[in-house]
Amino acid sequence: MRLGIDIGSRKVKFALQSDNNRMKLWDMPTTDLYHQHLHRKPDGTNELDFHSLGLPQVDIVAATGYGRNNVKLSQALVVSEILAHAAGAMRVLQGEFLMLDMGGQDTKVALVRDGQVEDFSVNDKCAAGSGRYLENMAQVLGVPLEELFSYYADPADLTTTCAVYAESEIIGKLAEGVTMPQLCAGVNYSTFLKIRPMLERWPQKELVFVGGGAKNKAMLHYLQQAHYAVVIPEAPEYNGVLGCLEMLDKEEEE
Amino acid sequence: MSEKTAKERIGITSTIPVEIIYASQCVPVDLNNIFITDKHPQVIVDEAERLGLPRNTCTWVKGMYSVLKHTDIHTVIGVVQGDCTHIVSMLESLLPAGVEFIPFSFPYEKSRKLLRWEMQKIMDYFGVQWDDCLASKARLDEVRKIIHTIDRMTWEDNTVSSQDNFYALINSTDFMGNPEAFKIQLKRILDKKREPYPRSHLRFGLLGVPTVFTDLYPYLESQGARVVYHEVARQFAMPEYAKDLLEQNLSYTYPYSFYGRVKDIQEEAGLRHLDGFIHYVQSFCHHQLEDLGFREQLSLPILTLEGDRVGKLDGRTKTRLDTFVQMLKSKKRRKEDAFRN
Ligand code: SF4
Repeated sequence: MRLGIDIGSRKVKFALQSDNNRMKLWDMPTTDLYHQHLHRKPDGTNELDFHSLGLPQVDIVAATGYGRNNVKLSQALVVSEILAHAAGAMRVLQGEFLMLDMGGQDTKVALVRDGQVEDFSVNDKCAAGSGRYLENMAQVLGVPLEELFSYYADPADLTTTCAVYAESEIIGKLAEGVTMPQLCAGVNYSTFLKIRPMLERWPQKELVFVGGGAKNKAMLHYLQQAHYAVVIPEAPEYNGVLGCLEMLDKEEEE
Repeated sequence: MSEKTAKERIGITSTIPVEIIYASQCVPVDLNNIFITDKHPQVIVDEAERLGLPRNTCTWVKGMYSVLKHTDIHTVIGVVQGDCTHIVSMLESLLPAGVEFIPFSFPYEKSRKLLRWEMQKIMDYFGVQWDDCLASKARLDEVRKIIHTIDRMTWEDNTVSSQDNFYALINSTDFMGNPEAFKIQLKRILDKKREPYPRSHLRFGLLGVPTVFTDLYPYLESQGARVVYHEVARQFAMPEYAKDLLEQNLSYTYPYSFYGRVKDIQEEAGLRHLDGFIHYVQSFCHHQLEDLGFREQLSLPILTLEGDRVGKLDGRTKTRLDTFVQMLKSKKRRKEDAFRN
């Protein structure tokens, strides 16, 4: 039995692979993991408490995600999340393609060629365009996130690049009478404009879109409009943790 | 000698023909080094912000500004062409009362005539002659020889750490104000005699301005990688031996054309068998623009890292480093496998 764990800024995602290859996926708030399911060891590393997680003894653990270095799981093989996401994307596409992961805190792009990450880029130190930014904007606009993701037509022109100031810009536009669907589309489009230069670093048009952001239909629309052939795997938000398990396989092969 | 008293400390903002200051018996002090070797460099930066420098000013400028406010330095030679326009603005408009600013330019055209004129200007200021400067060049070249040996041991013998390599190179801007004492420090590095680093370690070239990360080298080593080439810091140490001072300062690449730097980088990358580059950029620094140029000109993989505050590597930067190292290792493994089969 093998466990993959993707420690994100907000949520931890688990993938449990049983010996007969059945996969179970679930998540929990990251704070719960820290408070309830880790044993701190004297050497500063942590051990996963399988019992409190309701799990039987697991043979092999692979960890990825933003928190993988902080948590220092003593039992785990640690994998960079960019490589894990690329490995996850290789489950659905072969040859040469781009992997685009839009997560809670940042956006990552990797160029994959023949089962290998050739190059990658991560967005700069700025929350604008991240999943968290989109959540905030949905809240300001008073719509559920899924609804925000559905608007792409006639985007309002949003000029502020700072995630915090964008809030006041949106409120100002609402007061000017710009409609809610236009503003939602504007939020999506400005996010697309932020990630486009990251993609255009390479002349590749095949794209695997993963992470929670892959549920953003407006983003998919803009990508397709920009002539990207987009593939979205099933459960795209679990792509990283599944890729992490894939990497375990590779490691074992070598 | 002019009205300067021997042993007076003269601030410098970057590499200059420091031989002139030594010839005058004064003591050069690189303001960057005072700042970054302080016990609490970030406190110095915070102070500059408190004093009103905009937050979006680069950390190095903030550091130098605070240092100037608090030291006994009354004369600063600032490089006004061939280095940093931000520093020029700071020196021009914000210098504390009683501090004199002497501009020095590395002419962009690399003109002997203009550079000679610039150097003559500084010599006249200190009341020294070319011969005096050549004598101090001989004194400094003794130390440079050791620095270059340390550099060679870093990439060829693999017996010097990236940290020690950087220490030796970066302090060659001012020779720590005391070339003989600096020489003793360098000899300590030579005497360390460590086992060569494993051949499996990836070999990186670090491009760009000095970083503000305090744990970059040990972290890289823990991941199985080393920096065996510090582009800019190596240039500070004047790697091209030249008999005359003018020639030496013309072959120094950093202040002149970007393409001169690229040529130097390409040559060293081949010689040192580099696996990739880390291009370090400082937040709010104009050199960030060069990132695209490097990507267009250099064929090896490049990881761009940005730093702002002085301190340890943050999680996101570690993720980038981990990914870069793991990516290059697996590429290398594949190449070796393909070669074997
Ligand atoms: S990092 Fe850039 S902006 Fe800052 S002092 Fe150096 S050259 Fe100037």
